[in-house]
Amino acid sequence: MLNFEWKSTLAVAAVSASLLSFSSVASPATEMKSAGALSFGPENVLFVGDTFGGKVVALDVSDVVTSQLDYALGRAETFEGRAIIADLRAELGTLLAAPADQIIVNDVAVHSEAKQIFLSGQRGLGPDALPFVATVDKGVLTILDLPPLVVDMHVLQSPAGDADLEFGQPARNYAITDIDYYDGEIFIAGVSGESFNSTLRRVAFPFEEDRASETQIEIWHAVHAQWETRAPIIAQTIVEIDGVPTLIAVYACTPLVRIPLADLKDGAQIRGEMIAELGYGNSPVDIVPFVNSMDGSQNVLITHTNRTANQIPVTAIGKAEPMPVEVGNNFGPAGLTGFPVPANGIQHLAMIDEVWAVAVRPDPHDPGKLQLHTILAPFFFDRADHMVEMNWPGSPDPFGYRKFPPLDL
Amino acid sequence: MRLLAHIGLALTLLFGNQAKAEGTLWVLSPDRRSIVLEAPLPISAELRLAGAAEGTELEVGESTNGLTELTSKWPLMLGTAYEVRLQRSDAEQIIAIDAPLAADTPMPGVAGLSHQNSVVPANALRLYLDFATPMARGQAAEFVQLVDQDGQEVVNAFLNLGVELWSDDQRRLTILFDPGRLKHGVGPNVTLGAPLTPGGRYGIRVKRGIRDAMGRALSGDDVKWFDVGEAVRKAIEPEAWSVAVKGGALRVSFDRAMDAQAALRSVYLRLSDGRRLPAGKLQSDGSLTWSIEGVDVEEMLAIVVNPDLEDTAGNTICAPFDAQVGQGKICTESVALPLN
Repeated sequence: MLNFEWKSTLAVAAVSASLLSFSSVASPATEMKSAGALSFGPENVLFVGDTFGGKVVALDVSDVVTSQLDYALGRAETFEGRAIIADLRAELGTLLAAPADQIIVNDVAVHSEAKQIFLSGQRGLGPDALPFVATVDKGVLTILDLPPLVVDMHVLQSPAGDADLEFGQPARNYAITDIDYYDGEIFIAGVSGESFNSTLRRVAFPFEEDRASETQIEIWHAVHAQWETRAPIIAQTIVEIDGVPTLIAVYACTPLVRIPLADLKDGAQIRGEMIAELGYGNSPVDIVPFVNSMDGSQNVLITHTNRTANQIPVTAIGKAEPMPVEVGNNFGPAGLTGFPVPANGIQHLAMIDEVWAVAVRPDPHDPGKLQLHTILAPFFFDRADHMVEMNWPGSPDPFGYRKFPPLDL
Repeated sequence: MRLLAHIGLALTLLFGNQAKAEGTLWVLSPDRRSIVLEAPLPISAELRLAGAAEGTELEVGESTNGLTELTSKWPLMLGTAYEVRLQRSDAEQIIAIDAPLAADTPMPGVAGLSHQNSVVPANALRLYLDFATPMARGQAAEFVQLVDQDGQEVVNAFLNLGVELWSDDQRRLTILFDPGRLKHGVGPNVTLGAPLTPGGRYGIRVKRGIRDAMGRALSGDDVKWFDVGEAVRKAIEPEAWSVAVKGGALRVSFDRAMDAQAALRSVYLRLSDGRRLPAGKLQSDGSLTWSIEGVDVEEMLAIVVNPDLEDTAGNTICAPFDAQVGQGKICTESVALPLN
């Protein structure tokens, strides 16, 4: 018979388990084993990739969205964003009854009409970690009660097995790497099946089991100098190039690939056109479409683990010649690499509007802390991050920053 | 309610009034979400990390005989110190609560390294590091190093993938050498050279301070040593393996250091009735064994090798990992090694 210990600050004793019965409590996220990639769909639907559960969950967040339109995001004239939350892991930990170092943030997404930020992540670093999704309301975090919000669910048709990947990592860590919604469908990038093929799943929403299709994608990997089918897409977005909806995808180590959506047919095995090699020894983090408010052009920003971010115009993506294949190693950067942007260290990025992006990033002055911070587009540069001559009192002020009072948000 | 009355009776028998005078008694449910306190019903209750200014609300349940049940949305984390703050109309009460680890929980430690104390090729692509307890994610780059025989770190030896390669139970870490330093003529290989030299002795050092999933730190550095032989840059040749039957077991000995996890999942024994016997056990010398109790030798048709098999250097049954341009190819077909 089990015994539980009664405890106090000064006394401990054992009591028979037969005397004890605790209330049954549902898990805060009964239906989900993990909360990873986020993407907004139509009518307040938020898609959440549940990699460990092998499914995509659709949440109706209509009742939890609150307008943030009157919340100041920074001051563009002085290149100053704001720290919406200065110590993100600590504040999440307070709400999740966990130390800050037991919190991981997995993704960020923004409800475009309300400009509200949503975060996904996990509480705990071990195999028993629990998922969470949180909202940010004018700098205040709220953990969502997920089960009542679940309105639909798509179980992956051939979830990755338990065996290890090419390099030993558990395949299911890569079952869902990114999700994008476009015109009534979601596009789920990741790995499927025991053979770990890189698969792009195309699923109509609302979900119907017989309306899902899968496409195997083969790419020429310039660094590895070979055709590859197993490397998963890490980050993707969908843009229209001359009216043609096109998937722009980035793989690890780090090919940039262009694929018209029309090519993504059920059961097809296609070759994506590699238009850039963004450099060896690196993994992409995010690819984010945005409109350059300075000239109205459409662009994507690609952030990385180990390299400077790339800002690439969509028109250039459409015109880019495919890189040569069946040739020797090319370690890059090569091909269409765009304009280098100083957006290093960003763990997750999403656009709030045309002027501001939101980043989950280490505090530049205290890297042990993770902050939720706005960053000015299209420069993706925050002046307060840097120590330069013009910041000193009495030094030259070539850009006229001092005519503005100190930013007090 | 009846159960709480039972608990009250047990408390009285065990402690009488003395326990109440010395401190508040509490007990935590096995799922670490419910707390029963020997305390009157509060207006509200909050769970905080010890010393924190804020916390998360606890659901206040029934109360009888001076016992109150509180429920947390989130389980208390093992090894973490908490406070329960009870708000009453006239006062606030703070009770220290924790969820200690079971007494028999192993301390964090390095359980072993694949190919430990054996010879691995100089172009080894991956090794596996086993831990005594589930480990926390997010630390490998800082705490796991390759060192030479003098204990000096060999820098930039491992691939920075941006993700750590843990098994599902987070006890096994895949150590992946940077392929760019292993492949001839590749940029990192040209500029930095290969991380391992034939004839050398190297170690995988896990530095003190790496934490397990419960937050406990490794108390000291731990190094697992291995010897390095010549690089192996040729495809796996199953016909070079030796097969023996002895003592109720079938043993396949490889001609090279095989990737331990790949071997376990990619090599099986096919029987004449169509059954497949997956590899039973990986021996310390790197060989695979199957228990064949009840299986007639005549029934054993072939050792079948799936195309996923790779050796420690990443070579497959189709091509070497370090293939020349145009010569690399992805394996799609299994290979059978007949036994009769």
